[in-house]
Amino acid sequence: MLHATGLVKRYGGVTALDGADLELRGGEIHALVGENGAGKSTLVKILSGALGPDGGEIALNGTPTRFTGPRDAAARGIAMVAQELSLFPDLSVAENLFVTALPRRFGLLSPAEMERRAAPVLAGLGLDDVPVHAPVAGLNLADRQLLEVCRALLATPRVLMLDEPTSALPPAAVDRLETVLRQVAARGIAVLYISHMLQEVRRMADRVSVLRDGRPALRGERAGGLSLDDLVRAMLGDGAPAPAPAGATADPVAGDPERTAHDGAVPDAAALTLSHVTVPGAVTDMSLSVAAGEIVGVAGLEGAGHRAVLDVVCGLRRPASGRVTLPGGGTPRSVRDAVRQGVAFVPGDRKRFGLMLDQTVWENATAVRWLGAARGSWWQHRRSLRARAQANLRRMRFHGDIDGRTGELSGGNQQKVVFAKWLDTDPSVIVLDDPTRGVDVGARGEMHDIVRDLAATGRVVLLASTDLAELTELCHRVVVFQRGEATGELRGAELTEQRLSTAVNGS
Amino acid sequence: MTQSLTTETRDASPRPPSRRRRLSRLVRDETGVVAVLVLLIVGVGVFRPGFLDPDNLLSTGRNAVYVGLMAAGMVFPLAMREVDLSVGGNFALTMVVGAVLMRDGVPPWLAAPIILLMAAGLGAVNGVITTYARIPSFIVTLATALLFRGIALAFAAGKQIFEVPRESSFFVDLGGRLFGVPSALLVLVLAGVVLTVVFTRTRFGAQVRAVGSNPDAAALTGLPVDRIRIQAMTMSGLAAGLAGTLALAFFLSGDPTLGEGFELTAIAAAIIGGTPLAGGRGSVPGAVVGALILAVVTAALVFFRIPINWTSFATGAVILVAVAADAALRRYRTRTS
Repeated sequence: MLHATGLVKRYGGVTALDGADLELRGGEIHALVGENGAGKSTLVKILSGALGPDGGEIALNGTPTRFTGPRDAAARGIAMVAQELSLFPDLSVAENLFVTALPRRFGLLSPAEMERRAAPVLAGLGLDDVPVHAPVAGLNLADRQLLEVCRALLATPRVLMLDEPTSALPPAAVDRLETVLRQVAARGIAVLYISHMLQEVRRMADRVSVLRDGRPALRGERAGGLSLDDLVRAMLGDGAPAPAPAGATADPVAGDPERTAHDGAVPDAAALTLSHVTVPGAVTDMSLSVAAGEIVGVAGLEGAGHRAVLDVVCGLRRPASGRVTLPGGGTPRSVRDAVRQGVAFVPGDRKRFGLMLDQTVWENATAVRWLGAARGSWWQHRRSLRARAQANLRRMRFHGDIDGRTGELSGGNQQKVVFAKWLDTDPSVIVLDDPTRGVDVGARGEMHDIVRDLAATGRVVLLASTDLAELTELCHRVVVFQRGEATGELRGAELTEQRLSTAVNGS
Repeated sequence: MTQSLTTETRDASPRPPSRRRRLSRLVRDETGVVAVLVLLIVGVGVFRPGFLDPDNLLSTGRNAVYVGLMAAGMVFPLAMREVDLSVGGNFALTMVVGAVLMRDGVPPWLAAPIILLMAAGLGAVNGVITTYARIPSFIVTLATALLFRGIALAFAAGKQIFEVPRESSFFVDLGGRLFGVPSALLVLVLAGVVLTVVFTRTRFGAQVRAVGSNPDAAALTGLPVDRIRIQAMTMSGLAAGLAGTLALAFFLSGDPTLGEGFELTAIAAAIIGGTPLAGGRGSVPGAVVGALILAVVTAALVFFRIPINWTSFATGAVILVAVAADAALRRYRTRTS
């Protein structure tokens, strides 16, 4: 049906796709799997006409094709359900379905006509109980996801592509989606399903393709013959030796659980403890204790609950039951309270959550201590504030104009400013959420050195990352989450990308 | 993932700080508005030399005092992405309550701090409602503007209150001149300086700008966002109250109908002066100069014998031209730096 061969896509000097192949057949569910940055989204964007390839070709029903844009691709039967929901929350279900061609009578919207046309489509996807004229904002996430599929199907496509449709869905909704996709495929439509939930892929897909660094690692293998290990190996590569965690290689007694950098610290002085913490809908009865000097990772698939651990420590959410104890003995009641008790939070989305992009670097670097914790004089002593900022930034190996606008810095330098502003308060707990997202390799390495230094000076470091390599390189141990529960812990020699990926996906 | 790839390529080339950018930062944001004000005055003076008469200039400046004060106070809410539409109502209520207190025997110099405190309180009420009812300040102050003016009208029974002790130095000095300059103008300059210092040189000012620049980041950095919002709205209320107090001293009466529409002129003056509605930045001197520009335009119309009914039209045109020019200038500046 849709056959892509040798697709190449470069962004500047970076090659995102390097000879990717994909063959979609009518009536089959085809899963596309790969790590973050493997090129999945790029491939899908090319197939849906949003991006033009730099090389390779696409054949639709055997004829070589070039899409001029997403509308062209859509007109030729390629339907796409994007990762970010693209519904209009204030419009009704029916209006959302027909948003590009609203049924009209005498120039006015015709609710009756809309309902007549929407009802069978909705019923076909098991959405019969959804009120057609209710605003979409009132639907739950799963219904909205199915509605999106429904909208895509209204165009009677030949190929339906879904970008990570299950990442935010509860298990029951995933089952419903599976049923729907089966029905869609049974109509002879080719379904492409992108995911990194390996269990689901094995269950739902007829065939699986794996991308690794922009190259195909598996080309449309039958899903039935693949084990979880096969998939993990295809995703991460087995030829190259797994990059051992930096801490582990430096340590001769890798088998010893009480190993590495925090040996200097008192091992059983738990600095940060979570005891029986429950956050409804996120984690259940979670206990964790982290010693000073330890770097502990939390890992899991989207929605597995590992991020909630960061949230409760930062005071973003309060547990419904259980208790979080910070090194000072207090419990974080709010973000502000957590900051005052020495919790630092370095977000991945630094543009949104970390920085004031239109202000100067030194103003950002002094924002936590001077503005947040309100320490120091109420009067702006520019010279001393700038000097503090300069000193902290220098520790972060920041080289740049501290009077420049923060928005003009590179991603790596921006993240250094975020680190510097937290360092200003001398925090005892450092919470990192995807700290090196969108940062180049050199800056990533520097960032990791900084984190190790911070831990070595007796701070607690808690890390979540979508980059498994980052977890294995930095952490002394990683706690694995599934469906809101801690299901395991990897440390020492067991802490490899392969093992972590397998553990995260469950078995 | 494609996004991260593109950012990575951009990361690879750290930009050295350009000298031109540093220079453009030296040229303060206010330079533009000040230049416009001077050009306007000189321009009108060329055709109508009588306009440059010091007495005329001073009285033109005096006319800008109320809106100027409100605009200076408005910089605080605007810089944190809030707005205060109640300053006109606050102004009228301050005037009326002041007049009533003085009529009923409270010494004017004692009544003044009382009504200033009340005006600040009204501002705080705006902030508290905005924060705890989780309603946008636009809507809260739209309502309280009517509430404040409504109380003023009811309190004064819709009439001006004249029965004030006119011989008091409050009316003679504050409503008159000091060193040959209208006292109100001196108060505007003094308040402008104080608010400028608060806005640019104190932690509170920096907090206001931080919240306006990125509210999410500010909250995650531990800033007491709610408290800062209430304080910023209080500032705005206080400035409006100061304007009302000066108006009471000048008009020798409390007039509940005065100051209608001042809130929009004040916002316009602040925007002309370089305080964007998007928050994060602001300029108190710019706001004051913006109010002066509007007053000069109004006065110039009189000198050119253009019917007074064209004032609104002219004000609207000035706002549009000034803001469009400012936006164009900023686009040009970001492109060159």
